[in-house]
Amino acid sequence: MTEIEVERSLLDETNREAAASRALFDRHGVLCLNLMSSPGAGKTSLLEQTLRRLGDSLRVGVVEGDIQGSLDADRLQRCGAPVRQLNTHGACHLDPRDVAAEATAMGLGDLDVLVIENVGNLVCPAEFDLGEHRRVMLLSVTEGHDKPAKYPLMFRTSDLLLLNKVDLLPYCDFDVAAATATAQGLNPGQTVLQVSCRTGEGLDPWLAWLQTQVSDLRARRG
Amino acid sequence: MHEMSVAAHIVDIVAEVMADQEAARAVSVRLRLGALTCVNPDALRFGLQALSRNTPVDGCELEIIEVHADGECRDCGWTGAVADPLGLACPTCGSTSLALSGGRDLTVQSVIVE
Repeated sequence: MTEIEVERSLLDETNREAAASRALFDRHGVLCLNLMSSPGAGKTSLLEQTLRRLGDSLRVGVVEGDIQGSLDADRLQRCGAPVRQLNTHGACHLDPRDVAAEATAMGLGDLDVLVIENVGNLVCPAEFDLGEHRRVMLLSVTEGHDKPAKYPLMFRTSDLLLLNKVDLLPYCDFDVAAATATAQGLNPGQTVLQVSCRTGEGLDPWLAWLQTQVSDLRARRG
Repeated sequence: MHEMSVAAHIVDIVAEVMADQEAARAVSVRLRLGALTCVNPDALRFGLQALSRNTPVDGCELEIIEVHADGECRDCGWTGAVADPLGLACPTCGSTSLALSGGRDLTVQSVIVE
């Protein structure tokens, strides 16, 4: 019997692909956001509201990740945005190479922002760098304020946390202060905003955050 | 749930080593697995077994070396090893505000062939 030294990291390949994607987005001056949440938290509703409100001020394209079907992509197409559907056929997360291929097919030269709407899942997507510049996650108040403590990794790695469906707060036992404190404890640099994609409440600060990220990226490129 | 793709990658690496060494059999593969990778060892073993069936890698054992993460509590200053990726509370004061480093290893260290 012979022991052969290998020392090969299984994450290296994914991380190299993610770095290549980020370089591609940088070259085109496109801000890439990775939008994550559990199923039904309101990712597509947030994008619908965002696209409507932005109008022509920012050109936003979406890579729509779903296990199957194109229901969400169809909704966004109706808002007039370029959308590419990416089906994982059962896989719980997206792959950086697939995302980059869809983004390239969409035409990065015509975009200011690329949003990756990730598969609805609070666990696995947090593990995979897709080449994004910023991670945005949604937590809807109907899911309960214990979620940051139960699914720490995603909260730990997100730059912005949007608490969605705040119009339902009077009907839920959701403790905004507790959720915010736990999330910021996990990740002191994280910004927390309250929004309702149904009523439009709180969406202006989100759009301002988005605009700031675009300006920052352009400033970094010089 | 992503253990299958990890297992597929391991099978490929073992097969490559076997071909390089012109080995008849792979006895075992040694993997360093970080506590924060959220990869479940049982699911990974199952994946390796299922994916290596009817390949030269069939019968290769998986030896896992668990690698912990280093935690530091931002509230009480505790420092120590964190082994459980989901129970991330400070063992001294219970705070969830832990700064973590390391624990993300997912590396094939070596393969034993004969």
